[in-house]
Amino acid sequence: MTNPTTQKNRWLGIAQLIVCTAIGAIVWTMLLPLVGELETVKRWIDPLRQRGINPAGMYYTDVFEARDETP
Amino acid sequence: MTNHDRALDVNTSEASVLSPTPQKRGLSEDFWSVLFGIVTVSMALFVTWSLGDVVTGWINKPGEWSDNPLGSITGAKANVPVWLGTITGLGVIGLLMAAVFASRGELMRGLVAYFGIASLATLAMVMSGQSVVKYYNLEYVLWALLLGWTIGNTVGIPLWLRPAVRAELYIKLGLVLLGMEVLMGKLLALGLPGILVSWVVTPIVLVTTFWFGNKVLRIASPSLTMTIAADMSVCGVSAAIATASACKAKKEELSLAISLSLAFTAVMMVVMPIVIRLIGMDDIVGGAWLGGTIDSTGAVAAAGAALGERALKIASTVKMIQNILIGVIAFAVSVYWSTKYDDGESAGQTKRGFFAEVWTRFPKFVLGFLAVSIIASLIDWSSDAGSMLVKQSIDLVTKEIRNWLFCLAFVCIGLEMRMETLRPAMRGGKPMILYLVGQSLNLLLTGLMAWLVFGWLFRDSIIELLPT
Repeated sequence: MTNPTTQKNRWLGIAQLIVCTAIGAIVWTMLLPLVGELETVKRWIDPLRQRGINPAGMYYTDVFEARDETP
Repeated sequence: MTNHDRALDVNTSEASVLSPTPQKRGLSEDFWSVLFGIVTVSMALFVTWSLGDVVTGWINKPGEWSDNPLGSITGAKANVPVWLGTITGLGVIGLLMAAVFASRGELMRGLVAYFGIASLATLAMVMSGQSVVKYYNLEYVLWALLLGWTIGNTVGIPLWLRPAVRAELYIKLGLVLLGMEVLMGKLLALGLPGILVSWVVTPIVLVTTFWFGNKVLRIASPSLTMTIAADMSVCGVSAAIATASACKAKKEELSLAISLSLAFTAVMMVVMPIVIRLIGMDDIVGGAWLGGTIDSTGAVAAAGAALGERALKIASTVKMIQNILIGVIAFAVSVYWSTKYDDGESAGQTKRGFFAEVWTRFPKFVLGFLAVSIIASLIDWSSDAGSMLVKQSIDLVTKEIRNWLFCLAFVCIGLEMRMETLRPAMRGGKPMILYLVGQSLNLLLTGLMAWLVFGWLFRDSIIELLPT
């Protein structure tokens, strides 16, 4: 027989996961695109994009994307 | 979650990055990582040598997007759709993993589980491709961790996923492949000035921060102290992964060190160029200072670019020389830990000689990492054609596979992560204090060395080398 507490915890966990997924979806598809439109943010992003620099590069081989500028 | 699941979760969370997960035991992770690493590197060199540019785009990951996540996989690289390159990249790792699953007699279960973990890793890559996230240095490891952690702490790790939750194997294999990118010839890219800033200050800061964390702050876990010291003083996430594996840090310790580093890097990347301008520091010294202090390699380039083209070149080259240091650091930490700390694996066994004991404790995958680095460095150094072959093999094959492996690893780490295991070490905000003290020392010493070497001793030769 299934323990009612375990069953309750499972549903609670599923509900929490659904809420987290919904928050993530809203942040990534609505909030971040809006932030990306801000002038200050654009001033930071555009020159880097033009130069093909990936600030999220983990190692020196990841950094220069669009053109070969690996020193 | 059942009691059995909870018990498994507790056990896995207490295991170190390097200790086998409490599932079915088979051949060691070190054996598989060295074997797969050498096979992958050999195949990469052979395929690139025989097919050349034809390989372009066949191993890929989701790219940048701004407002539509689908944009990350709908593009193409050299006419190969990104979605296809993504499937091929994950497929190559899937083939390697199939051998592990087959050796444990769980081929089908393993492949189904791998499909689940690979899907989460793909989602993490898509999340990290959002332009705001990407350009503010919030690397994919953070989102992989967050995704795994959310699932692990809400519904728990589903039983069907467990066979592919192999953080240790993905990390070690990723590190062996990273060896391909640790090319010793790059050390001389800026001559003596680059080596002085990158290789003199960095070890001093690393050792001092480690000593400070252990002796002054008395942080409960030396492996946490070492991982924070390495990611702050060397090169961020990649150094944290290498050092955590070398000193057998817990998964949670690695996650904490990386989160601290990414948070501070995002701030330093934007603030430091402004400070450099405000204090009137020139682009040569400023570039060297940025390269030696900002943790993450990509963020160094972004901050350098904010100062100008010459600062960008100096900053990214200093950082690249520092990147190469992780081979030496990983090896030194492995040897130090093998002689200084008993990991419990050999406890209670028959007394052996000193060297036998060290060999038993030594993480063998480090040898694979060093072997790949030496072989790639020799090919790179041998001729222009050799150098081109290594560069193409890295860019077209091994770099992307390494990124996927780290992403898979951090999904698994997130799934198994239980923050309560960190509580003793977190008391009084000590890890944050350690990071702040270490980074302050780093800023001071690197600033002095950059001024001495780039601003005074070798200034003329640097201007000659980089006129604008």
